[in-house]
Amino acid sequence: MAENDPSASSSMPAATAEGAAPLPLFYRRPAPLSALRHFGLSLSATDSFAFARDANAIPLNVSEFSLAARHYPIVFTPTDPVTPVAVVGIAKSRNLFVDAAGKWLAGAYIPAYVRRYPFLFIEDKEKDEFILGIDDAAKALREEAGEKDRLFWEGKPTSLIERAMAFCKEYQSDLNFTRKFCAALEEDRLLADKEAGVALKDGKKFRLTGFRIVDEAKFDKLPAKPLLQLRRRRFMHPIYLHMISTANWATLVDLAAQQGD
Amino acid sequence: MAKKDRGQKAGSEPRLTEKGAAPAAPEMPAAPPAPVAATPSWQGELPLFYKNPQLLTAERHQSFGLRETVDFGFARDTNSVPLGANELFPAHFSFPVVFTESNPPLPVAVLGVGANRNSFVDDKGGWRDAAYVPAYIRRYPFILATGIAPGQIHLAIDEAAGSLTKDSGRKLFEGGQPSPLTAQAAEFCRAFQAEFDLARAFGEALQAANLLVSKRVDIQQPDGTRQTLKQFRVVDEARYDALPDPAFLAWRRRGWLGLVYAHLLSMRRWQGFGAPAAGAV
Repeated sequence: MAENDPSASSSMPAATAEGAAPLPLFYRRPAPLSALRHFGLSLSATDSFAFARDANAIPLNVSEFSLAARHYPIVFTPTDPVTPVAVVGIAKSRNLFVDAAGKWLAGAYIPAYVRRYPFLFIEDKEKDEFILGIDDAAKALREEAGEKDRLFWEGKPTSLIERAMAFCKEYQSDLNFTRKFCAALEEDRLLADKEAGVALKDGKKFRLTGFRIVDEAKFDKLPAKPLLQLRRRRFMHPIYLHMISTANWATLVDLAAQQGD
Repeated sequence: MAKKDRGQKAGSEPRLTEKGAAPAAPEMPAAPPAPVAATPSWQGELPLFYKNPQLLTAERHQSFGLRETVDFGFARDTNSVPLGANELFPAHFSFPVVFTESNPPLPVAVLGVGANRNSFVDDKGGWRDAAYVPAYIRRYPFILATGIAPGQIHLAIDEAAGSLTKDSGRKLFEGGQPSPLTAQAAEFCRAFQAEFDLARAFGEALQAANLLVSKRVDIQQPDGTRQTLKQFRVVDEARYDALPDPAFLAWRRRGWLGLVYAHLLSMRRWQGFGAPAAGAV
């Protein structure tokens, strides 16, 4: 998403929502969970987010905007479907909020998309339902002998899977609302391509492109009827949170300067 | 706003200028002005931090200067300061923004929940981390005075300020004329006053629409002690959602919707003071 050469433009990473053609961000070998396939596997409890270290944008749901607006610029991808993302880095492939040990910056909100990993919902289009899946390539997934952290025990899913199921269900419900929100922004033609010029203290310049934001001039001119429609659908709050969050570009620049990027 | 222990009434919020005073260009008194006793706006009730504000004049303040180093020690004993309307956006990143119980309600930044305690000023008088410093604090020791002559606003300075020095520092006057520092201070005070007036208009609108509810917050400190902040108000989200459409559209035209959302978002910042106490509302 960033280049040192201000004349070059580059684009956001593939922060695609699941269901889109390429694999969702972070997931390399997602597979439906099954007692047969995942019989001997356990998921070691870890607070390492090393898997997210190369991302500079992470998908967000609307329900997370008020937490995310403290640290991250919230912008929209130019993909179809449009996805809100928290911008976590200004250089390509560098998450400023995850350190070399995989720790997330203390006090900064960790997006649900990251906390959900390595689980996900896989859509079964024929049956029109979601099944719980897991990224078989996840580092935290191991063959272990004991009962601890097992996905299945005595042929039955453990509480670990029950919790993952509940998390993914809520995530999916939030995602559905988020998709409606984004569709409404598209419908009212409120999103505009945007680039941000960012200068670090050492004079290094970045130009960030490939994302969209709500065009404030268009939003201000939106006629009363569609505006009140947005209000009734409870979309006003997230629109403003998004706009307020753009002040966080400065936070990213400060972090980048501190980390010597 | 007040704390339990201090019993400070909301009415003691500083009145910065006379009610309804339009933000006029600040005027530097060319000649020695009438004695300060000629009803400056703070008569009877000094604004927060100010102990001995005097109209700034070349004659009186020729030899005065301001220290180069900034010391926020003067703000250490307060737990809230008023905010201008444009400050709700930067402020919500650092602290809760709430409304006073006064009439009209004014937005204030909550800087601490302990009695007389500003959590953002450290032992050395520095401002914590990269937190936002409210304009009310950056303005000190300058302030605008009204009520000297009709339609005029004068720049004044708190002669009790620790940052004020004689025969050293950054001069207030140069060759009998206001120095760039003083000119800058006048402009800053004028801009703050304009935003303060907008904030008051916003507070009046919240009051008129009956959107504010009284609230208290109980915070559990790491050492187990509990602190309570009360006598302040916040926007009730359900009432805001029920604001009639014509009012909603009018607020949008005035740029007030963003202020409401910044305020609501700032409620996330209570945790900066500690965890919510068990059983707290």
